[in-house]
Amino acid sequence: MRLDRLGASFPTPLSFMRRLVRALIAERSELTYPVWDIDAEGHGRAVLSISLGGHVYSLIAYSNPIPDDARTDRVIAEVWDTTFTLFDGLPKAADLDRLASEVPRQEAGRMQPTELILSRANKSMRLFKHVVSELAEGRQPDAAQIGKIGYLMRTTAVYGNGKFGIADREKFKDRPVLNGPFAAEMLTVWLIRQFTLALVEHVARAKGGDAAAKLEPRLKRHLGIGNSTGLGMAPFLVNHPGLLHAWVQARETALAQVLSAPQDTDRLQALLTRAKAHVAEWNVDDAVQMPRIETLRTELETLDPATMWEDARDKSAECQEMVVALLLEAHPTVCLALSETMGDNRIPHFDPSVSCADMQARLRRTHGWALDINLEAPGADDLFWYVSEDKLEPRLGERHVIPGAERESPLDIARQVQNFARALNEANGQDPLAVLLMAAPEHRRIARRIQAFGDLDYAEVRDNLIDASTRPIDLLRAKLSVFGAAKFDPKSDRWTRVTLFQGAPLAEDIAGGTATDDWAFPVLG
Amino acid sequence: MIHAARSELSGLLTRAGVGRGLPIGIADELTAAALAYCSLGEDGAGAALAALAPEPKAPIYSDGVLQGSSLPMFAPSAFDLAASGTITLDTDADTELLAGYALVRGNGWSIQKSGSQLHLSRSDVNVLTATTSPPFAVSFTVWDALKELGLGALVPATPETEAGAGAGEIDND
Repeated sequence: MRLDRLGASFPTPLSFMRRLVRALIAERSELTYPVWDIDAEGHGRAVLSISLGGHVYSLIAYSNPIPDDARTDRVIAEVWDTTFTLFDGLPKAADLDRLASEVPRQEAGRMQPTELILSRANKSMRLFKHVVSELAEGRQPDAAQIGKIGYLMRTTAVYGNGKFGIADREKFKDRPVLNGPFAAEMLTVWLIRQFTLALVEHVARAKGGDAAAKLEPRLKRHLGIGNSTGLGMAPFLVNHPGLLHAWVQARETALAQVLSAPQDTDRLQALLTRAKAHVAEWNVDDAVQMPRIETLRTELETLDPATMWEDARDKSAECQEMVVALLLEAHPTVCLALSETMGDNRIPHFDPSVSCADMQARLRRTHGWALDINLEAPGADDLFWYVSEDKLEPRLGERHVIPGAERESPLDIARQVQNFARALNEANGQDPLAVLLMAAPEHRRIARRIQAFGDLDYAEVRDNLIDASTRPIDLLRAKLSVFGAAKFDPKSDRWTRVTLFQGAPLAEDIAGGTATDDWAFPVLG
Repeated sequence: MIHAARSELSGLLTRAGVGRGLPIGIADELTAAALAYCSLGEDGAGAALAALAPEPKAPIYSDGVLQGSSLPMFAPSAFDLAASGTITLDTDADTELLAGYALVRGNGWSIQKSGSQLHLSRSDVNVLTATTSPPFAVSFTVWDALKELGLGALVPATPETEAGAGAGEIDND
């Protein structure tokens, strides 16, 4: 499982957004707006509530004016157009007052375990203003602009699992729907999308009065939520080997089942047509990604729905991964059960009583890939990962250029494996591992990792993540595609914009019973 | 008091351990022990802070006796070795956090005090049961001290090191 392969991933029906929307559809969940205290400029507070899996969850939104020059997607920002929390239940007025002084401050605020997620978003000023002015005049906005940008707001962080006082994931890990990985985060983003759509229509109505139009459902559905993702997300896959394995295992299992099942070529043809149109609308400025997209466009034209798996063998990684996504889309029922297996509840086992010889054998069997990497090659350790004092954000720097390498974060798995293998070589093979670890405790974590996760086929990104050639954006895309993100728009090799929930059913589709799970590869047309 | 989620406290404790100079795997186990101690209704964060006071030196092991003054450094080895027999601990460290290590390891453990020494061995009796769920209360003093220690694990933010973030400064579209 190599980094460049992960960096060509596309969303599938296994993706977390798809799983969430399926749950909303199954329950025909109704969205309500118990509080809508927003002024004509779009500032104020609102509460959007929804019932899901037997629980009520509320998005609490605070919308504030901010200066244009303070609007940054960087995590170091201190103000945002809108800030949000996902509240467990229906908040009372006292909750809203308490949170009004905490949520807009984000990392600087202090939440309580009634809050499950903390997030914020900035407007796409260009599109937001355009949509408001057109709707206010009673016209629909320019579809081309909606197609080009794809969102009215983009989130710059979606924090879960105990950050800044919010609840641990433990609180809801056994609840229906929210038991899935990142389900609470996905619900929050879907609700943010609903908020942005309600907000833009509200401001247009305040401006245009009775003459104002409402957004056409077709345009509305194509508006997702933008997201800027930087290095903050990159270490996650390395730090959660059990979860990474579960995600890839589900995908590989689904693919194996799909390839052994009869293919519905009509369905594949329809999906392929839609995918081509989707990719035709995917344009980015990035000098690496855009040529890949162009190659993908060309390669998609050569695929035959009846033989696309074979056809893709000599194609680019992007094309091969797109074919995987198409095949899985054509067999959604295969993915239904597997999408429930993507969590990781295992309790890692560690046995320091094994002999050093046995540990060495195990290392060679499960992590031989790391021993095969030449760490003496030029550039092999040029990079180092670190955490900045500034908001505790992960960073990637050049080891021999900037200071701080002595505080390196342990994402150099291949190097750790090699160092541990050397220590085992030098140890008495009959000694228990405990004796070695007492003298050399720096190997304790990698020893535990190898024992706990070594037998999982997909737990490791099998690359040297400190090599000069590492593209962190590959890690970002791998994770974001499992979320269900599309339209990857790299801004460098370290951060990307994506669109979440583009084409997804709206609240009214879900409540009205007209929503379906068939919204992959959204096309505005 | 700060009421912290398990994962938030976990991050704070691990950074403090690494910042104090513990190897990451040792810091992981200190964190797990401190959180387990919290779940016993005790001040796990305070106990971890106290355990981080002595210089983190590796223990010395000889003839069944493990000698050391840094609990985070000797406790993991003590439990590793005691899994197959009794280990004697010769230490002047505050050992209250051993209960947390014992809870993490599961099963039963016997910790007998004899003069300045402790005898650690497996036991069939498990007397430790988690009674408290997060959020865990941590005093501001302990929180701030752990945060301060954690700075040793972080790279100071300078224009040079912040260039490693990759994103643009101002973003209006």
